[in-house]
Amino acid sequence: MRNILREERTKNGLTQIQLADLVGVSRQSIIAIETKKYTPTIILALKLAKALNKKVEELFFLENDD
Amino acid sequence: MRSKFLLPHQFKWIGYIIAPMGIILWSIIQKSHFPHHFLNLRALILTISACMFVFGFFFTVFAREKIEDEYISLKRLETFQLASIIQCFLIITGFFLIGFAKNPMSIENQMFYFMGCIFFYYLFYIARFQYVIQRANKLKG
Repeated sequence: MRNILREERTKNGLTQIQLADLVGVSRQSIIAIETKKYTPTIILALKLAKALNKKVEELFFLENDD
Repeated sequence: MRSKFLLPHQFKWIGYIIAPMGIILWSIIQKSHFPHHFLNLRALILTISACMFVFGFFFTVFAREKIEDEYISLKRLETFQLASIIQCFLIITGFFLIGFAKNPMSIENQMFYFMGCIFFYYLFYIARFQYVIQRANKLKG
């Protein structure tokens, strides 16, 4: 799964720690999602989308092999 | 993310302190000679020290991280699974060594080997989990 979390986070002027605090997760989770090492659950995806004023489908994109 | 079976974060530091204390005390008492009328005291101290290092390991393994989220829970599960697989392999190896070795281990060494397998599980879990979390921390993303 592809995502543009890092780009949207930096557009909003947030650091990884700030975004992690906003959604209530660890910085490691944000790093893992941004580096595509981890696919978040729907709840976390919704929280991230809300924190960045985006829809989930504007942040996360299915790829052919998903 | 709430997990029913994890202890508060502070237990990790309690575990880091009492586990090595228990091992050191157990080792010292094992090598010490107690007069006959103090044998019960020796047994009591050995039992207490063994409990200290078992509980110490348990506290360290089952203490929450400061932020216990879904990613940390996933890494925790993966580490438990990997530790189980390796421990299983070590135990089966032990059975083969006892059953088919030309010079099988003495009963005492067998006991130490299988006790080692038990503690290997906890040691491996602690080392691997901390490594994964620290490595994730160092990535800039």
